[in-house]
Amino acid sequence: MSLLEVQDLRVTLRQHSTSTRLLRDVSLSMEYGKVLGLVGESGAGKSMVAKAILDLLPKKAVIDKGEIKFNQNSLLRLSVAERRKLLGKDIALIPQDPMVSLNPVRTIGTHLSEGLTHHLGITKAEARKQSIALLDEVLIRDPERVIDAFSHELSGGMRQRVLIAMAFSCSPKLIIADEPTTALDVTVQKRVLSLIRMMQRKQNTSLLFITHDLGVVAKICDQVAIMYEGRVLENTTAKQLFHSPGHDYTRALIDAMPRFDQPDKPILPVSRKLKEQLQAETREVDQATYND
Amino acid sequence: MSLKQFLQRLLLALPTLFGVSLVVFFLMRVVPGDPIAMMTPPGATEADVAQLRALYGLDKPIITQYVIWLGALFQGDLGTSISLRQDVFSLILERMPATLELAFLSTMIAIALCLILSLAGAYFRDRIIPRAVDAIASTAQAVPDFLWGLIFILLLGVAWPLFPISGRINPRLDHDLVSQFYLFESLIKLDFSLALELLRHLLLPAIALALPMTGIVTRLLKVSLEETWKQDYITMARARGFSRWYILRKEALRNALIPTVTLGGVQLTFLLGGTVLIEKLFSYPGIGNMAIGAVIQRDLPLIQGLILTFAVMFIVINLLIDLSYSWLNPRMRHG
Ligand SMILES: Nc1ncnc2c1ncn2[C@@H]1O[C@H](COP(=O)(O)OP(=O)(O)O)[C@@H](O)[C@H]1O
Ligand SMILES: [Mg+2]
Repeated sequence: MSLLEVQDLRVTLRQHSTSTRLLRDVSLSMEYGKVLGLVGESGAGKSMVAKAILDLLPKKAVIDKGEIKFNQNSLLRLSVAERRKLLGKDIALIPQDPMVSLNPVRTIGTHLSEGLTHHLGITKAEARKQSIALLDEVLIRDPERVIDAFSHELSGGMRQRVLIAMAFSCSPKLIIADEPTTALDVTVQKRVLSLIRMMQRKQNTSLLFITHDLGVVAKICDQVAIMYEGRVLENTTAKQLFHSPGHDYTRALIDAMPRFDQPDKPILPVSRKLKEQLQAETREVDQATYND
Repeated sequence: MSLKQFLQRLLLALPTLFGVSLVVFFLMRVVPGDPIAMMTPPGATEADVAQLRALYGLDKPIITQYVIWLGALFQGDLGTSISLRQDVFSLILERMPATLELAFLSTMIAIALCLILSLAGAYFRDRIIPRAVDAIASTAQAVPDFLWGLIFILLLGVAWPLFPISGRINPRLDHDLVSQFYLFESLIKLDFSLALELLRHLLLPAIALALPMTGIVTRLLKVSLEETWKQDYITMARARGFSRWYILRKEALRNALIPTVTLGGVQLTFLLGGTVLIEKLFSYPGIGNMAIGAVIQRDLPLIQGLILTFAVMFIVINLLIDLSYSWLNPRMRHG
């Protein structure tokens, strides 16, 4: 049985008289306590999948078709209020850019405890205590001081730790991490990644890990979905992916990876020919589904 | 803002005040119109006029007059009003509470209207309410305060006489108020019927003063809220399941206020300046009304005292705005 089931999700942006397809019948499946890597180049629609799950789609985007099931319940059939009850409690987000994801005029403590009081109904004093414990858990030194700090007083890595603490604070069943290390210094990336991994293991959370880095996938993912132009080209296990990639594009991505074990291996970018072929396919798919 | 910064700001205000005093004093000496000529009866002789001049120190050289005036000023002596023949300082002190109450009520009305309108305009996503807010704000801003006053007088005072249009309190009313802060005192004494009577007098001039400020600040605050709404930390709050109204109030409003306060401060000084005409229009016994009388009478000591008073009030407003700015924006607090 799976925790999250995205079935044939089709999202279109309707602006003025034009309509642009953003997601083309995307299907994903996530099991309890497992890590699913969602991989693709920039603009592939990875964040759009996250937004669809989190009810954050742009105003002009419509879901034409498909289903998102969380814990066997259809999210799309819930009311706005019912969905909000899940968000932050059962489904949480670790954002891409920690520098701009914390409110500059509110303290770290406010950020953490408002989620606790809102979703768990505990008192403010109790929430503060738990917040300090959470900061400690994400290995922030001197949590008693940081709790009353503002985000501008913290480094990028510290801010991402705070956001990780926020995401895990209500012990959610699913965490969506949207390229959580992309905006960080290379030296910090590794530590933040292992923190997410550690927390995920500790709470046995399912993790939807969005990335464009196959190296990270190899390290932490159980399942992988490869996306291109709003399509999922391949759904497979992480092991399978590297041993026998099922799609030409996947193979091209693997060839484009830097390899530390073979430093002399040339890094080949995905060929233009392959991309053109994929784009032609996309147009065909769009035409075939134009009137559905 | 730390205490040190606050004291620095206070010290910085002193040269400003000195500059104001200088400008005021010499400006009033070069404008046409002789106050002594205005206060002497038609049959007065040259000697009478000269005697009066000597009495008010107007026969001495201008620099000497300034030094004498400034020296007295430091002792809280603003001179004697020529037209009212009373101590300027106590005249202003007696009239100032009326103006402060009017300006304060007006500011509160403006702030309340700004918040209600801009929050409503940013909260509702239909087409009607945000546009209605824009239309209301543009209209409020486009008509100057004294015209609003005139409109209110004609509509709610004359055509449909719901409100008194003159004075501060019904002169036939018996009351035992001891201070000049009528409204404040009546509220403290829990005398609500008296407070209501005072409010009936205050409401029209206060709203007239508030409307232009409401218009311009509402427009800025609404745009500012809409801009803030696009920030990533708002998206983050939405992803955490908070409602739109909660996020608007708790996450967006304070950030959106930061660029708004500066404009609000400027508008507040306009509001204070606006009391001059509005008080005249509503025959409201404050220092603004007094200023017009003083100018008509060429009452130099009184004019000087009043301008200095307004300057002090402007400085206080700017100080308050600075304080609220650093309260709103934690990045301004340290260092
Ligand atoms: N708010 C938006 N309005 C319109 N188009 C958008 C919006 N956000 C993203 N897009 C488009 O949707 C596509 C997928 O974007 P996104 O999901 O952010 O890609 P990824 O996260 O994989 O880099 C892109 O082509 C992008 O231009
Ligand atoms: Mg993205």
